[in-house]
Amino acid sequence: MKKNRTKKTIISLFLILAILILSGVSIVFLLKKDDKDQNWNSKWSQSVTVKNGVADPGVITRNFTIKSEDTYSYSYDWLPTGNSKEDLENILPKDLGFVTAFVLFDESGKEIFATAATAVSADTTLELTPGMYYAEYHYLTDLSQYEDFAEKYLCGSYQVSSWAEDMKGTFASLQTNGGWTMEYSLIVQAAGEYSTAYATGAIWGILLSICLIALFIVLITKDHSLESPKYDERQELERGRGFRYAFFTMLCFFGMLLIFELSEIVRFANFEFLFAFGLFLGVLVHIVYCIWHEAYFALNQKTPTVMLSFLFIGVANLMIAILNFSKGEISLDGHLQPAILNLFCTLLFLAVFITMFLKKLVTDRKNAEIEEADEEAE
Amino acid sequence: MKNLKLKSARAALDYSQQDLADKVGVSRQTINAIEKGDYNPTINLCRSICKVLGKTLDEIFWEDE
Repeated sequence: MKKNRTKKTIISLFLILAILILSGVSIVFLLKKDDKDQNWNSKWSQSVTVKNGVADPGVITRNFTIKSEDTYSYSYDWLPTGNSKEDLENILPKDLGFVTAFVLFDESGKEIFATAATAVSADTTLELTPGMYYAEYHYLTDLSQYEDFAEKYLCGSYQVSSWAEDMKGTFASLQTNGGWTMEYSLIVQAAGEYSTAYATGAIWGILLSICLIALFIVLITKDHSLESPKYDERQELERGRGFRYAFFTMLCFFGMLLIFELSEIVRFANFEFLFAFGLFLGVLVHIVYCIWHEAYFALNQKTPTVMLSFLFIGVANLMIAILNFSKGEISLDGHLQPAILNLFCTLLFLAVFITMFLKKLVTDRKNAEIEEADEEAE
Repeated sequence: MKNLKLKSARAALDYSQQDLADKVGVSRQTINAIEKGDYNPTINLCRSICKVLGKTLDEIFWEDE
């Protein structure tokens, strides 16, 4: 017993030491991120007035220097003051007097990238060589200006008519007089170096999490060794059936998903959500089946402790779900997003409690019937 | 088919389902399922139950003619 305790103390001390070292390394990586001289981050406001359909200023320019050849992540935003990325869908052409057209040149005047929109928040990947780069923002107020810009920078002459057709409604609804302040953001960062630092940081983070979980297990198992759950033969049989039903449920769901994808039937959710939902369904089937056949909790498991931890996880997920709801991250363009999975997690834990409650009701009733029958037989 | 022999042998020793389950090393629900005839135990579990109850396999698990 004493030997066991000493062993556990040594493991705990080792884990604490590992956590401290990993935390230090993580902080170093976190600080290293800001040392990059290859990153260029600029945010500014610009007032634009439109008088009788003429924008003032017509063009503004920003420049930045790249010191080494690399793949760069290039993020560009322009939004009317007081709006955030989440408001993009609500910013309509009729609220503004111009369309912002953006074009990036290198120092030889060669076009690198161009786009146009009333408001935007997007990013792209660009291969940049050392040198000076110029970002031009053109304020376009009528369709002919847009056609000129599109022909010159966006797509070449053969497509201009169709592009212009798409933008016809936008330009028709723009205001002809007024003043607006736009918030601009232009972020250029070396994608390779940045992601390596982040990937390394993430690996340390995962190792740190593993150490924390291991420490948690060592501490909560107290005087027991790291016991695995013990099921009797009937429970193992039922769990096997539970896994089989869960597997076939997932198979059916993913089969249906494939058919829906191939037949392009209208989608109500994005693919990441549907994939996670398939896994969620499988877990739900397994849990409900095992609880119903009294094979979910192991012989050496303390049911109240497990239920308490379920309650804690359920409530935590519910809080995150409420937060996601309030932020409006549940759906985008009418498609459910992975953010709704927190709500499903809450429902999953709720399903555990409901199944246990129903099972208890049914078992009590059956036992009462059996006892009655036994008494009558006697 | 219900296993009344098991139930009476257990009752004779004044064991509850939980007592028998603890001694055999299975869950109470498994003993309940065997008594109700919902589950056919393996020969190993049958032997463990018989040892605890001091009975033979025939006495507990063999069907009457």
